[in-house]
Amino acid sequence: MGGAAGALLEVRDLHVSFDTEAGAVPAVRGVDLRVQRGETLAVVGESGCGKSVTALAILRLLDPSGRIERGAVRFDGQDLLGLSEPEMRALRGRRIGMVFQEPMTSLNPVFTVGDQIGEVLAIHRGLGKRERRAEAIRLLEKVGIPAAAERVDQYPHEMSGGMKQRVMIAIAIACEPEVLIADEPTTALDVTVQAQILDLLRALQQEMRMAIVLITHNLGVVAQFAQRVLVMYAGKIVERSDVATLFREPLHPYTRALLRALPSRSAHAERLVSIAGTVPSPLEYPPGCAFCARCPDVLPRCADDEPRLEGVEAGHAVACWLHAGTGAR
Amino acid sequence: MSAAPGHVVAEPAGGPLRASESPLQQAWRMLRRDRLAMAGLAVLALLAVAAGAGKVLTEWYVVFDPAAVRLPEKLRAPLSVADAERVAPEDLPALGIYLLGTDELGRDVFARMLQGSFVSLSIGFVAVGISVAIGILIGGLSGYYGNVKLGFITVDTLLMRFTDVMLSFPTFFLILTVVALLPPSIYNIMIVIGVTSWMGTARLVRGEFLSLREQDFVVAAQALGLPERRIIFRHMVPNAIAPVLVSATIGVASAILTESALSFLGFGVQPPDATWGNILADGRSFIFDAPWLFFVPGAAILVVVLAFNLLGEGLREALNPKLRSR
Amino acid sequence: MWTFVIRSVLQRLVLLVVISILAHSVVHLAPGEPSQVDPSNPRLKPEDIARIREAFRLDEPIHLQYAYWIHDLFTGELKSFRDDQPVLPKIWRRFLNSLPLFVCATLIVWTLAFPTGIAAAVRRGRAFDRGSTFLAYAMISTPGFFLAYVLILWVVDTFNVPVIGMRTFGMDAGSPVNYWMDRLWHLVIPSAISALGGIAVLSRYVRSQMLEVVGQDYVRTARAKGVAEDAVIYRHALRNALLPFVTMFGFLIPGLIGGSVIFETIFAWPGLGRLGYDAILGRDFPVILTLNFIAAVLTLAGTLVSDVLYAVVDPRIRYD
Repeated sequence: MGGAAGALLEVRDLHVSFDTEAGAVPAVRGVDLRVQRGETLAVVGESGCGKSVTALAILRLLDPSGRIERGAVRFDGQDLLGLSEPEMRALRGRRIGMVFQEPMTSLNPVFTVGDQIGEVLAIHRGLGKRERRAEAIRLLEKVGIPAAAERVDQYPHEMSGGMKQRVMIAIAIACEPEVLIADEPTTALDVTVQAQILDLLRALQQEMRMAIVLITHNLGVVAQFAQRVLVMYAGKIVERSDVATLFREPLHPYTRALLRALPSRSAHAERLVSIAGTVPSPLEYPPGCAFCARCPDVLPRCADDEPRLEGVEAGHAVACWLHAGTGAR
Repeated sequence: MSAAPGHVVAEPAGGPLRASESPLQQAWRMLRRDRLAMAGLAVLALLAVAAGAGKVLTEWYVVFDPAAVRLPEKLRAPLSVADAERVAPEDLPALGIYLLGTDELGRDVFARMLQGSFVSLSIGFVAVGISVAIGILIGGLSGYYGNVKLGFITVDTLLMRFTDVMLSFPTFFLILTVVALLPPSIYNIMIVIGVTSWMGTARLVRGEFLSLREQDFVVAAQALGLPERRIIFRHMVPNAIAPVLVSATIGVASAILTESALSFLGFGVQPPDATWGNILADGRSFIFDAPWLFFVPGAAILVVVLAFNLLGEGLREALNPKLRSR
Repeated sequence: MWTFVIRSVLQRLVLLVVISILAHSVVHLAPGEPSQVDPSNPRLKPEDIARIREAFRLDEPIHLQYAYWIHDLFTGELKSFRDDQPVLPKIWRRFLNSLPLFVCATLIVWTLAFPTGIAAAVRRGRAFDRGSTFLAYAMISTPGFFLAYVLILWVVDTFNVPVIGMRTFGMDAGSPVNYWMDRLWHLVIPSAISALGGIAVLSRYVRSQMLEVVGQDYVRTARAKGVAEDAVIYRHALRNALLPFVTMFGFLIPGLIGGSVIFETIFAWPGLGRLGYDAILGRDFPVILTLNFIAAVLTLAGTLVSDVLYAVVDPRIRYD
């Protein structure tokens, strides 16, 4: 493991499950991640792999049916899972911001965007009414919304999807958080708007020196944006690497499949990653590697024996029997 | 496509886990898990038996005679033994016991309740049948032909405005007016209740049709040039039926309540036909002297209506995949 | 905004004419010719028919019948069969009697149903939720007058207060305090009892509406901003959950007539519902028709009020 002692945000051995009629369903099964100040970590995987759940678990925003079974979340030396709810609230939106996937539904339809930005300012920065409005306008300008002084009094339904996502970002960065968790921030947007939003995030990151945890299913986005990548599959991390290495030398068969499924740059329509077979249901995870049923290079032991995440070289680890024992730790 | 937490939960609850199940089986499995709804179902099964028995045993093979008047034996308490000396032999109750007592004319309350169970239930079902038929017609027209213009107004606007007005009209007063003007008959009551209670169904069906109309299998059917009648009845109605079933179940409950309210005001089903509503309404005069005349039918209505409501709610949850995942 | 209101009003006026024609046609439900009187219908005797024919001028052509009915209604020529009083003032007096009962019952319904429904939604699946759910179903499933009788027995027994009628006879002579206390008891108990069903129904609506809203993305956003849980529920979720209830506010108005028949009968309350009931019993056609017509007017007024309110509270609705 990379020897970063002073990681800003660190998740260790996180297990999350959901109560359903069929019993407790594991969604996240032992995830480790660390984020340094100012860096960008991407978490990649197909829908349902547990990456969004991980993000929500960090902020303790899981649905009532979701439960953190085990693990630790440390932020700047504090154990987030041990904090009281008021202490946790004081962190949310102030030191850790979050941007969600669906800008269309993530803003409250009955309040103006100015009110919604202002709320964060009132809670965490104690600003008065007039200051809030001025600050909201400034933030809207900062996230690139033209005519901010007029937009501030508009309701979400009067804005386009890209614009709403900018508002969401304005809310998330209003208190200059140290970490921004962006859960598929561009998925619901048009391709052209996607690029603009990513550019915005990058610019804000450089200006404010905040760390970003970018959750996405899109390796193209990862390549442009992140320094380090975690690849998740079926609630586990299957590969961890820096971006350059991952694209040059993907090790896990799943990562390779993802890369193969990546559309070439000239493709005009983004295609979702498609890999033969389907993700196994969380109730029927095999005892071994969860990818074994879809793996082109499957070995006899894969079905019963679960590979651990092992380093193969500095900063590159993979959980796969193909590469077990190949690297020096 | 990321996994919102809802997603993760939805999958095991919905298709992928048990892909071999039909939606109907799935709903049934859901319903069986709902204890209240199953209790409701059990009560209703019992009621169906009682209603059938009521028809057979009080009218065709008179084992329990609801009409036999025994003045010497009036207002006997439940479970009291009939006095064979004061009652003509042919009027003796079955087993010689008044299971639920007798009323002010010495009629056997159990026999009357038995007879009433069939009448009350058929009022509920016929009224709801009428209301569902009208509701499907209006809602279907509105949802399928909604865009057709009639002069300055679309079919949809016209029908839905009408529905809105009916929905907020004080229906009970309207029912009362009509029932009071028409000759008193059980059929008029069924019809009037049915004609004034279709609005919820119409709205539901319209909503379903609006969304179904856009779906691939309907568009495909239209592209294939299938006749509209076929598209509507073979492809769309079956898909819209789930919510209608739910509202019909609850509708039976409210029809039974409406009948009892009409009975209370003296406009319900007239004697000699017994319904639970008019037994209850008559019983209120004896609330101190013979409380069973009031509490037996009251409790019976409460239990049965509750059963319909609980079953309806259970069905709603079982048939609605969106609610299921929560 | 004003064009929206004016257009809504105009739309309603057109509907009103249609409805008044319909309301008028109810009179034709009564058998038209004395010879057609159904001997099996004990409710209409030949002399009733004759009176109806005269009051509604059924011998005129049908369009004139309608014109006369509107004319008579507003000039006071349409008089109750019972006491020969003009219909509109008679109804107005009864309306004033019904109003306190209605307002009081509505207040009770709304002040109890909202906290109950919200609390049940927030505690979804826990004891409070299940208990209130079951209780609500039990109340919805009980015939209203059955529940009322049982409760009256209990109240009279426990508190030893009279509750039937608007006041106790002879109380006028006592001190003003006693008099008003008496009036209050006579008002509150019937209101509370007639409110029960409404509380049950409305609290269910509130609960499901809250559940719908609490699962929305913007509620999660609010939490992610660090908003306190109470503010999440009462500011973000409730504001959205309330929207449909604004519509219901308008729909309450017609309940003034229909909702009160049973309870005004039980409590011998001389209000509108009771008037309608007596009119129906006495085949007082002028009153019956006028009440139905007024019900329709109130209904339309209700839909108008709710449309306007909705437009005011929901920023997504445009006026144009």
